[in-house]
Amino acid sequence: MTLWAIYWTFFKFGLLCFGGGYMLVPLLSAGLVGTSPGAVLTPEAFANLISIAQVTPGPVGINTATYVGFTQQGVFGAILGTLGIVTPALGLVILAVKLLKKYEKSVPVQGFLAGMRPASFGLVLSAAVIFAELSVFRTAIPWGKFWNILNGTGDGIGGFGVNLGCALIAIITVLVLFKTKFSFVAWLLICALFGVFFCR
Amino acid sequence: MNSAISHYSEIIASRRNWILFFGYVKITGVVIGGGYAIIAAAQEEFAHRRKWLSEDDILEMITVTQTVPGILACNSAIYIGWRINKFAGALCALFGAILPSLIIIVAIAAAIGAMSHFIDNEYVQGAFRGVIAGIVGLVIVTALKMRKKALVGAFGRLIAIGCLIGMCVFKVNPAWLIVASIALGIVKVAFKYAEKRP
Repeated sequence: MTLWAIYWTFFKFGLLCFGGGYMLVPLLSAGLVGTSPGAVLTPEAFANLISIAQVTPGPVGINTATYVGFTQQGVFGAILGTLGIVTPALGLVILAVKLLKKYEKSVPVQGFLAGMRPASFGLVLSAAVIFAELSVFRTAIPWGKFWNILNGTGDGIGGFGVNLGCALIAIITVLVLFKTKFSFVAWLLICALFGVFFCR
Repeated sequence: MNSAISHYSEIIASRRNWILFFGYVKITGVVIGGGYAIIAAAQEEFAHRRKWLSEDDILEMITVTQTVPGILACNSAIYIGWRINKFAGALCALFGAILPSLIIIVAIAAAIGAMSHFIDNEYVQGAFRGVIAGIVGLVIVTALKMRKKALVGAFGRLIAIGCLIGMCVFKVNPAWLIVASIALGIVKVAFKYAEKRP
């Protein structure tokens, strides 16, 4: 990617990233991750990146933009990726401070919120599926093969399977973080330790 | 105006900019855990300790950061900076928020290149996989916590399920899912509004 392409790609992500950093995950995985010609990160590199971004200080979205930019064009790529993702917000936050109160009850603003909130909910959940395909499941979920099995034209599920250690971690994490005030960063470090033994 | 607010207007503008910049460098350089943790730390620093922002400002900040697209922590920096010293303040707080990440992540990314054989070690890969599995749980918990506000009525549920299936099963570009959902939301609210009027 050229420097300009890095800036422009992350500018678009900054414009679409409703509801925080996890929204970046579906955007990145649709745009930059994989083995297609436009992709610049392998799924494995993407998984490493997200783990690192989550347990180092700083906003996860900025960490991600910096890392991807760096892998493409070194320090300048890192700077441009980061600037790209924050540029739209610089204008939009100021605009919202000036206008949001006045037009809060208007049809466009109410309609925007009515569509944006459930969409970001669905896409944040899809981030969980994407992460599960990088840990809990051994391959991407083969939806097409499942469909063929239902059709009666199935030829098995390929290498698809579940990593039991990872599945256990995911389930226990939901229980711990939803029911207790346990610090999730400390919890993720426990997950790393558990993973050394049970997720190989 | 809230009487608890200290008069930051008595501090000269360039000094306010520095305080915003270093305040955010301090927060994002230390606080692990992303958006909400950073917003809580910023609230502590600028609302409770320096008393530059009122409770009403904080509520408005949370509404604005969640309405506007972008990185939550950076949106909060832009909001606080703008409140304290307009555009210059917003820029200073924003640069303070991104600078530690730039330095830390560039250092880590450079180190990873040098120790790829360490990363590819099966024990290290196990640790990474463990963290990712933990993040699966973390993301589900994040979603559960936003469900009441996000899933209003059958319309909200339909949009959410549509986006989830569209993204995961049919690999639709999420940009289109967002744009289509917002368009449907506007149509839905416009119809409701038209029905209410005689």
